[in-house]
Amino acid sequence: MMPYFQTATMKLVYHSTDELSAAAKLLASSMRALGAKKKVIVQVCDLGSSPLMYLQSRWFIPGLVEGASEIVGYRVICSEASPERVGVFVDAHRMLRPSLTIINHSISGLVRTLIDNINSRIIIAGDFDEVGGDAQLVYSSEWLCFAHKCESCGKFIPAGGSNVRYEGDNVIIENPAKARNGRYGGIKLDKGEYCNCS
Amino acid sequence: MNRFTLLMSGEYFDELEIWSRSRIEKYQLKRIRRLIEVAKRASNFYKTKFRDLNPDEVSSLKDFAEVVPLTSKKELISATSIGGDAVSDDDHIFFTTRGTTGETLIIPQKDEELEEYVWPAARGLWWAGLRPSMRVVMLSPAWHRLAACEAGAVGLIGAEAIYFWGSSSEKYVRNFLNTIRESKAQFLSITTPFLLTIFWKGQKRALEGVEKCITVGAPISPMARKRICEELGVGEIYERGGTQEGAAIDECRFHEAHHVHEDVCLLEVIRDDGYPAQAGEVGRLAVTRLYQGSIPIIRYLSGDLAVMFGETCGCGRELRRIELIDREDNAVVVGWKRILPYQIRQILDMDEEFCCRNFLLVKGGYGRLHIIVEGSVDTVRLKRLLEDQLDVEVMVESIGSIPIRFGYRPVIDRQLLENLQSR
Repeated sequence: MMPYFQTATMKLVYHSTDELSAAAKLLASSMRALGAKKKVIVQVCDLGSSPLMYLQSRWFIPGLVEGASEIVGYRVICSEASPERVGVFVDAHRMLRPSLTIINHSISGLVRTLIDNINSRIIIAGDFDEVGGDAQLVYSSEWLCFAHKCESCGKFIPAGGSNVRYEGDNVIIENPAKARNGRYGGIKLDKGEYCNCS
Repeated sequence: MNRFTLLMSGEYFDELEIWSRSRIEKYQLKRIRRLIEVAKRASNFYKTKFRDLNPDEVSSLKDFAEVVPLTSKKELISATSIGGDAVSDDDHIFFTTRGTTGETLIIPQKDEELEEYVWPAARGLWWAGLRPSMRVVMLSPAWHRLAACEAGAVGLIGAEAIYFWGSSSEKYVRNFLNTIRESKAQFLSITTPFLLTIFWKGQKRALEGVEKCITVGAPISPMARKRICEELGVGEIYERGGTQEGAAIDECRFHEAHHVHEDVCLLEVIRDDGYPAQAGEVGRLAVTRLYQGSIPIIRYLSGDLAVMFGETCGCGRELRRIELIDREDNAVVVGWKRILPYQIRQILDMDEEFCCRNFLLVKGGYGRLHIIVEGSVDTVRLKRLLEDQLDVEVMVESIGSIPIRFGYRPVIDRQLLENLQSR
């Protein structure tokens, strides 16, 4: 039995096994691009049914064979992205000294004033429907796909393995398994937001 | 994963539930000897702590309680800090735990440990009525070890997990209720504070259709359960307990106390003088996790107050029964009296107006008990009620909602409260 998820826009969606598995690979690819590698510690602070959280490990989703942390081999600690729980997040950050820290945009301002680990790369993340282009890592909780910002041009790069579709002046980044299943939709960018560096 | 024969029939989940007491203890003893042996070999901390201890000399659980020293939270924090020996390269996931003192403890988890705990998590869900194909709304599995194990447990039972968007704060009650309604969930796994928030912020019958609910994080009195069931429309509420460090306990249908999942942990209640408490006597909880894991947890004083039950449960299971009363750190001293949130909960829940209210005790109340209560209540009447029951001077504050930034704790230090209020 595969799980259902509420999205950032309060829709209840179902993701099939192959869609979840493909999404974990997409996340792994984005995580690699952001600097996650074998054995490093990654700290993620986000909301309940965010794919950025639940696709981190097979332990978080019934039936998921591998999460991004298992695919890449990094070690992960997840925290709740509420201002009230920031203290725990900050303590864990101080104790574990993660190399990469991913923080939900809603609490990023607060977190930045509290953490002192200059060696950790901090990435602001969020659901594209909520945050638009104001984050370095975006995802779609509805369509299970990911994109991150190019360090050179500051525009979005789809996670490796994404289905990329052009529609008028838009570029749509999709989960390949959903596309194979005939379910089309994803992170919809203006062409100007899309990285053309490569 | 656990090696018991799966029954999943009637009210029994597996064969452990029909084992005799002596068989359970024999099983535990074997695990304990192995645990001590491995801990001494693999951890510098335990090598030093147990230097004079020979596992073969532990020939009974009574021996174990007599010869194996207790471990404090402070010792464990020092053993797990960076540079300590307990965090290994094999640790894949980390969870955090935090007590009233605000001390954060990192609990590293190896895959094998999580796998071991999936089984008792499933057993507890089974006792609470989760069955294959049922739809269960759950909290995020990434934040807490128990929730991660529940995700696996739901898969093991063959039920359907549903996750809502947000966190367990008032802001997300709407998301939560929307998920329940749209998914037509029959089962709910939730924390007690969030359930109480829903009780006050959600509409009547907001959980209509939910047949069973399992709740964790704080004790919930029989009066509160009854009221929540009646007013929110939940069929039955079960309480689950445990600690990040390895305690795992669940209620059976008798709801009198929690059965210990004795395949994964040994729980003891210890008196202040270090000797085992008698059944019915409140003492400190000592946790032994029967699997080695990243940090061996052996007679670890978790900071909880507990009471063991002596007589066998009406359900017939011979798994021991325990009740976690409160955390030691939660005690607020007023004059010569130590007052626990658990006591306040009992008093509030006896009164219709105050029942199910979230509340916060403020430490450092200048000789009186300072309590902040959620919602608009008759503070004069509450003050009188508490003073009558506790025989101390009481100051009551009533606020619309207790900001979750005050923490999920029932107690807060005055200084911290003032800092948070000034932000």
